[in-house]
Amino acid sequence: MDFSSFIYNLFSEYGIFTFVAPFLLVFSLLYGSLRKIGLFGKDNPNKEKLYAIISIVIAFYYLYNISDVIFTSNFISFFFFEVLVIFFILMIIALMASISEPYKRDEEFQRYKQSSHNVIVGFITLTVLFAFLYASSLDFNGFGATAQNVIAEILPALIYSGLLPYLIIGGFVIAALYWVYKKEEPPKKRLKKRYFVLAPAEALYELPEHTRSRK
Amino acid sequence: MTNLSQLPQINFTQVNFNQILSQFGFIDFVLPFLLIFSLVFMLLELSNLLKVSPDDPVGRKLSALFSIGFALLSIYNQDLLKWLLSFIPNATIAVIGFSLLVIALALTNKKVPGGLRAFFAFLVVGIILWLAINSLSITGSSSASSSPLISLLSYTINYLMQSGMLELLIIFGFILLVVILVVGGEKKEERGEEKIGGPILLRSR
Repeated sequence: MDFSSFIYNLFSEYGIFTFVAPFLLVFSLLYGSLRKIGLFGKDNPNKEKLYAIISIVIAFYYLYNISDVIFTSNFISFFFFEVLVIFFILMIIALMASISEPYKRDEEFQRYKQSSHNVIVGFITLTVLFAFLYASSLDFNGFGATAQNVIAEILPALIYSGLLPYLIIGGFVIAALYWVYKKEEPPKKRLKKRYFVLAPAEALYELPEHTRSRK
Repeated sequence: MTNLSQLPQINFTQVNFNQILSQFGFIDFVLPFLLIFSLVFMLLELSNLLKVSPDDPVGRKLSALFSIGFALLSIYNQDLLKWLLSFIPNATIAVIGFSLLVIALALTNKKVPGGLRAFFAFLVVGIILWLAINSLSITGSSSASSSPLISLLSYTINYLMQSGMLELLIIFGFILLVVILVVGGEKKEERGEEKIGGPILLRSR
């Protein structure tokens, strides 16, 4: 047995992975959050002790279910991998930004860029969902089993409860009403197809700058 | 005097430096821990999630504790170590490649124009995502390859390639692009004609 396996086994035996690490994670998160939101008032002299007690108790409750701890391990490890991927992308993009000129155009381009920025931020937020999907796919008996079955059970539930036809008919009615009462819109401006490509790229180049400018 | 041939012969077995490092848990334990801890701590400091004020010492300690817990719990998933071992070397090659590109372009003292800049951005995203998905799929059936997202992606790509749909889609996409270009050009001309001012009689000529 090599040294790394020895350490890994030792840590597993002494509960570092299943007890100490998740405890530190949950306790620090809860205690920090409670301190930040100041739920029990700012002038309360015992607030820090109360926050600590509450955090410890909740952390121990969390540790009671080992499958949740394993789920968390899978969840955060995949999330970290995604963060690492984004980190590499931002690093190279920041490198490339130094040798290229930003594409500056009219106000319409700025609007496109802002929308692209929002979409990119949305995609980055989706990393949490991907990590959750990954953790769910590995956890067949515990917490993930419920999550996996949510989509698989929604459709049969809609069909067997008889809700699906009502939903379809309701959708048609809403669509018809919208079509009848729709206001006449002024003719739209011609979309600049070139901006669809250039604006997301510019938004990507601006991401490292946004991160850098944060204090 | 002793002859050199009389000295006891010591058989050195060739050991790779990487093997020594991995034997002592440097690659499987120390490096991932340091990487995860530093990145998570940096992100927490950036977001001020656990701090009451920017100079809050208790908040910084809590961030450090959270990062230690995060790193230890992440290492518990052995698949992560495989992903890191597969992804980071390749991604570093990409970093080196783009750095060389930057160096080469710095020699010419010219800035890359907007269009090419956009191309490079998409190229970077494509390469890094491809490397990431590649490293996820090599780790075996018990890992992310069984994740719904990866299996859906790989299934779709395999289906498209094997059924010949990909070629059809590319051809149709190309035809659509040509049609859009042709039709778009005509509209421009029409607008151009509309913009021509002056008497109607002159315009008809």
